[in-house]
Amino acid sequence: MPIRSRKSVVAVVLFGSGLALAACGGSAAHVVGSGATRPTPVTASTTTTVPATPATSAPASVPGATTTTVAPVGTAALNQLNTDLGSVDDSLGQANNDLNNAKGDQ
Amino acid sequence: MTIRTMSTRLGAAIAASTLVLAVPAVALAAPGGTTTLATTTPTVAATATGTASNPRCTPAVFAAAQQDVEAALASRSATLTSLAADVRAAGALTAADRATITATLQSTTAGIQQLTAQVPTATTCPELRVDATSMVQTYRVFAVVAPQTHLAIVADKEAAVEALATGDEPGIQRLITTAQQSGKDVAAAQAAFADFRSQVAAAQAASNGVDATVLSQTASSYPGSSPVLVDARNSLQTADTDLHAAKGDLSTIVSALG
Repeated sequence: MPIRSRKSVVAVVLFGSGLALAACGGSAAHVVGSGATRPTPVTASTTTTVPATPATSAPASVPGATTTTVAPVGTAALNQLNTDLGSVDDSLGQANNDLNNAKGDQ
Repeated sequence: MTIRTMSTRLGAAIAASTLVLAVPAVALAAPGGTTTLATTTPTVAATATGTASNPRCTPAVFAAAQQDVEAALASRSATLTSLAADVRAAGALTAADRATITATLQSTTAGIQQLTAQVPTATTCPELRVDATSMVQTYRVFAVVAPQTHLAIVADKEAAVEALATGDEPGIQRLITTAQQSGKDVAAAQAAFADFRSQVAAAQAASNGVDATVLSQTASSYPGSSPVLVDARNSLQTADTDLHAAKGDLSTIVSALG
């Protein structure tokens, strides 16, 4: 294999690794996981169990990525919390509706 | 057609509409001109005190009263179907709570279905009164079953969010520490994180045990169940407010470290 081709392969592999790490970064469980078993999430989108990894370990294998992964990671956790609280608010609204319309049983 | 003819027909139409509306109203009216608490309560339903309202159910209005009770049963069946769907969709429900709610919904649905089959066969007001009273007092679909189901779902969803947030705390602290070690000013993030932990802890305190409290209520608990359920709602609302504040803190942390 020519040297140029080998360089291309290495570049592709590194790029692929970067994508994989970025994908891992999209999971709140990966980003801020403490290693403990996580409780059942509120939404279906969070039901995938991903082995927890300290936030600093992933960037360590990709030089230069440390400062760029913090925000996406935090954003993912924030988005998850936002989604879950939206679900809570919906159910709370239903409960309020029940309590305000219970006169049919009185 | 003359104007006078049109007026006559219009008057007749209005009179007919009034008559149609008046029949159920008469059937619903309590004796002595007193007003029952719920206009949707069928002819022979009980009052809030649990005492039969003894409404007028005469042979003349029996058919309308019977239809009213059938409609009230259909409304309860629809509510129970909707509640069962909500329970199936609530992934955060604990196994124990799900089992309790499912058992309640199944037994209540069976009872309402039995009454639904029974009411059309009633031929007298006393028979209809017994069925309607059972529909309300035995099952309390609207006053107990529906709110307790939704409140238990809320309680378990909040517990799941609180557990996730608590589990995230070590990771958030690591993010702040890492940023600090790289020379970033993390004062705002650290302060927000302290409040995040405080808000999550407050939410846990507010919502803890609410699921058990609401699921311990039964139809026979009514009317004492009402203030219990309202208190539960208030606790869960407090926890919800705390969790939204925690979300705000996390947003601050993300902005500060980004």
